[in-house]
Amino acid sequence: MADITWADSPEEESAHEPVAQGGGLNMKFLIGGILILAAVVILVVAGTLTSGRFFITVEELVNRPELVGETVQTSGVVLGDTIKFQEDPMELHFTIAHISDDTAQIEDEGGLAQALHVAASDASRARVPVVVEGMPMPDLLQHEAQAILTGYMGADGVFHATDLMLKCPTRYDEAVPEQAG
Amino acid sequence: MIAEIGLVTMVLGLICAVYAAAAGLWGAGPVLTPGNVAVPLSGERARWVLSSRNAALAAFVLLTISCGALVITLVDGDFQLAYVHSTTMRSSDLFFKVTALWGGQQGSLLFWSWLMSAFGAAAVLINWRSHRRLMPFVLAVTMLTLAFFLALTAFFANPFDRFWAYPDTGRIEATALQPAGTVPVAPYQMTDGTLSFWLEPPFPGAQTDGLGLNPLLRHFGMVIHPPMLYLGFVSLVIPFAFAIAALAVREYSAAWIRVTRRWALVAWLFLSLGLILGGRWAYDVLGWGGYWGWDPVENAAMLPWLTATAFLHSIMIQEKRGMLKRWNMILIILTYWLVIFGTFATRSGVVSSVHSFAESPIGAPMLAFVTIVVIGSLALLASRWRGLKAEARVQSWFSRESVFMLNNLAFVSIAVAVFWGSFGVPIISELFLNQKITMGPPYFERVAGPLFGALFILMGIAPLAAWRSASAERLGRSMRVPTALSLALMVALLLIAGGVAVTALAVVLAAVIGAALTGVYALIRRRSEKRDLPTVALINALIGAYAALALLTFVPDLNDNALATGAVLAYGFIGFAGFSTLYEYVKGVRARVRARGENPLTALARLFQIHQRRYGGYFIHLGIVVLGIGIIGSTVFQTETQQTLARGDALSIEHYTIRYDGLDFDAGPDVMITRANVTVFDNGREVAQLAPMREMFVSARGNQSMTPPALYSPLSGDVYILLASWENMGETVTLKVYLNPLVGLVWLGGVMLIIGTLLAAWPHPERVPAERRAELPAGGSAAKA
Repeated sequence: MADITWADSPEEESAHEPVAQGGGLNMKFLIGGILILAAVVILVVAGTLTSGRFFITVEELVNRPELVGETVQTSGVVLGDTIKFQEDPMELHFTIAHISDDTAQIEDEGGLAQALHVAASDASRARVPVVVEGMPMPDLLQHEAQAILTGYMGADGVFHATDLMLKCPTRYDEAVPEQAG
Repeated sequence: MIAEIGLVTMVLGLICAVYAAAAGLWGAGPVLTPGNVAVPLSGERARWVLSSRNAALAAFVLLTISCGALVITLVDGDFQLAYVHSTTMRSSDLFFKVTALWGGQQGSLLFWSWLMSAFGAAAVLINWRSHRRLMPFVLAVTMLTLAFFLALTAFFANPFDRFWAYPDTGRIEATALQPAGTVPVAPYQMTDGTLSFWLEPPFPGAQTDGLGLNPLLRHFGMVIHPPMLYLGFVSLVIPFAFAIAALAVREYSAAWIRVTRRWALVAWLFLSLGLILGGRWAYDVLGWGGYWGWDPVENAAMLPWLTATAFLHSIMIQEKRGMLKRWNMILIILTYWLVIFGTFATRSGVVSSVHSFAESPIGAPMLAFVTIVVIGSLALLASRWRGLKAEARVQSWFSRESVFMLNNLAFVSIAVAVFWGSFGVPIISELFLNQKITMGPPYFERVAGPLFGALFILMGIAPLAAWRSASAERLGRSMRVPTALSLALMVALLLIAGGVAVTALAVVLAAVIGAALTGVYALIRRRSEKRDLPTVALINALIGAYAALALLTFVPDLNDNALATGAVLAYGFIGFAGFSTLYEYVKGVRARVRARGENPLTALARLFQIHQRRYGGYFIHLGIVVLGIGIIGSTVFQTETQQTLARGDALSIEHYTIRYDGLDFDAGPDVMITRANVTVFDNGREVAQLAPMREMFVSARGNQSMTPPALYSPLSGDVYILLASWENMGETVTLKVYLNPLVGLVWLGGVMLIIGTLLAAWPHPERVPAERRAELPAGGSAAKA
């Protein structure tokens, strides 16, 4: 490969300042480096403390009254027949049912798709109604979809979501079907 | 038949890869023993290395056949294959059948493996003669990585799995090898549109069919995005392999860097494009008006991009000054870890994300593999630590070496912060606090934002900083023009966005801070002859301006238009980088015009031709500047509205009016389309007729709707219209509208990255032009060969 020469650009002066004697400058750089790192750490810690949200299951949302008003993240399975879209003011209503937040447990239940199906059909699971303002009907909002919501539990028992994420579709690659003709 | 060929060649490829890795290691193994043993270049051990190379080439050929076989089954519609069934359907376009190769996990792993074999073979063939000593370990590392991915594919996510049924119970399994007592079974399309499995066609004329790709994924950006990312990830394995090889054979010079820097640059380009295209897909298809959500899986793809960018820059210092050698090793090892981790994060349930594909069994093995490889690499690095001692020292904070080191620090800090927020906090909190904590976009914006700002400043300063020892004054003098221009820009922008009052307040604050800093400087340098008050005062004015804007933005209640001051602050950083880079072009052209009398355009062309890396690189920087301008504009200044309209009614947002004209219905083979016809007016003048729509896809997969936005994209920014709902066959509709100012610059920035990389990396003849040779300072600063 060609030689690289990183010569100074054509118009730059070629005279350099005299070379300083080495040694004493190392301490300066070390301290400077540490200060910079400290600043970054402070930035990260401050960000963590102010922006962290607790991840709460639907069961906890329903059973822990002290969570009212706290901004949290939660996840649940969407119940298709509860989905209602109101145009004016634009509001989306649906109900989610509790799913476990423990991936090991979900594996035991037969995988995510199966766990969602079971949770949606089980009437004894904790459920909570959700309202999202100002969002058009999302394409992924369907029966047995997994919803990840950020928002707060209202005193009215409704979860007011400021952010709604729905699981990406390839997740629902058809599992091996059960029967053959 | 084809599927069997695919399966057999894939397994043979795996065997070749394992053999190649082992043979390569055996051939050069003695180097790893204590004592300064050289790599055997002839004799029996060397023959093992040759054999390893041949096995690597064979692996590439075999995997090409295997991928080809998979593509043929996809195009032919061999729906007995589980992968074909889940990613295509009979009525899919040919384009989507071919690209289904990477549409699902199994195929994409095979595709990844094929790319790895191709790049590994290429890297070895190109450098076989010139860098013989490194070859055994390059082979070992690339083939080991390839073997691992192939093993994962073959045993956990096999694209050649087929459906077999037990005739008595009807139970179906999908495996590569036929289980005893089963018969082949395939999915047939029934008259009601569903799919079910039959041993024989259930009625005359029944056809096998598949589920097809989810409609949300049938978008150009979504088709290109995975291969771009994979190209980037796989290309980065090559510099890593050479780095490990250099460590192993005690090659402490920059030889391995010269070989791999083009790989690194092209890898960087692919990664950048992959990230931008993913954003473009989200913007076009998902209908939330944005393109980056700071989702953990998005972040996982960005992490290697950050360390790779640092690496790209840091290796320049090793080439030029023989410094930052240890940094470069750490950066490339970190990048490799993040590449595999990034692939792993999308395939395990480690964090909840809209992208998490599967809590699939490959997650844990991947994490184990990459951790073992990285620990091995770090151990090797530790054993060679002393040899990597820098050939020179950083002599000044204001030198170019120092700026590049700060650059490394900044990029690594962003990577650590993003990793912490995406994975660190959720995993640690779940393990140790029994309460999962997650971080949303506000964390990332608050932490990464200022650090990216610092990167723009460094981008602007680096070309201006001198090598070796450099005083603050000297740097300051070279910064004068960009500084003045940035100050002017900030004042102008603040006047427009915030008004006279806030601008006056900011100017006063900036002046006070700048004066204070200059006063301190005057005291410190009162006896020095290097003292340069005017220059330093100008620089301090810039620092004061940044500080003033920061105060006005982040101190609550100081200012009621924090949005404006925040945006101007961001533009102040970005603008500094932009002006500095443009000034480099101006200075270069001016020097040639004066020295040779060339006309400016010729001078510019010659700059690109002769100083290819430098001026191509500056063009990439300009692309990043444009990208930054677009990102700030489209996020900080985004506005939205929604309204229900009857036919003929209009809604207004800023200076646009959008009138609803009527609803249309349409149908395709598997889709029902509802289209709202709208007319867009800009200050009363009609500018566009658009049709936001809802598409309802009906397939064996179930119903899936898609709400693509309609876009009107003038230079100033997009008008982004969604059809939220309609009533009574279109008597009324509800529209949601976003205005995304300057978002076009995000995509333009991406295009500039491509152009800049082509300019910087275009292969040029080995011979140095006579003109260039004459320019080299006498006594040469040419790097070691």
